[in-house]
Amino acid sequence: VNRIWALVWLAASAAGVVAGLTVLGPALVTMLK
Amino acid sequence: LIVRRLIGTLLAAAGAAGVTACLMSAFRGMRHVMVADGGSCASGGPYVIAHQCTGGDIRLLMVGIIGMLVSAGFLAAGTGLLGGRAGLAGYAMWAALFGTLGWNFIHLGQHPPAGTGNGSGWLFTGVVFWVMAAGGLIPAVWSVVNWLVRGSRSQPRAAGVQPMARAQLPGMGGGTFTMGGGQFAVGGQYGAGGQFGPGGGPFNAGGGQFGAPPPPGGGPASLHIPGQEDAQ
Repeated sequence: VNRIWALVWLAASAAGVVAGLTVLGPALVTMLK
Repeated sequence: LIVRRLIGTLLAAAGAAGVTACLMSAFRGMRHVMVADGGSCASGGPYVIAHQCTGGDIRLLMVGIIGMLVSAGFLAAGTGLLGGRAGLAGYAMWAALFGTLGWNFIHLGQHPPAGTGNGSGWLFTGVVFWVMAAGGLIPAVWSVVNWLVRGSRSQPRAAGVQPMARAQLPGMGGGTFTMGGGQFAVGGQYGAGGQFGPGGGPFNAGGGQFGAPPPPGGGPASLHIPGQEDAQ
């Protein structure tokens, strides 16, 4: 069962990284620049 | 438990997004300082400053660094709630930080901006950064693989595995200090044929009996350790 949560963690982290690269990061840089 | 896991999932996703966004901010700030100012800038003080830091660079770097640490805290909390090692978030952030900033050094070292020298110093620094990134990447990958293959740190002990050593005190039925002979070799995991080491050692002598029964009358149990009697 814990392996499933490891996969969930991987998926959530990967989704977060993608969101950071595509949406949050550029928005933050634009705001701070 | 499901609520806890759900919160952990959301925290992990939010933390990873925050770390990534803040790392991008620090990356852009650092890169601009390297390209526009030759790698260093300053503000204030009694001396004339050749390269003044711009407000944008300061904001990008400060928000990037501090925000990344805060976001890594969320990621660590989410990882822990999901049953993983919270340190995994630290390793991952370390690897991402030094890997990304090291790329700045290596790329701009290969293509140095005008007036910044030949870039060999930046190249060296970039290689050092990548070596440091590997120091976080390896344990991070190891931790994830361990989590995937063996479950988490909270995985319960497998049923049927006996304790390594068991003591019975006088008056509690026996008084023999028993070293579970073959416990180290359950299923052949730790050795061959129940031996503690190559060739079998004194720890396994006697098929699990690691001492003598206590003297009659209920005295304290004593351990018989081969080789120590001679010294006494």
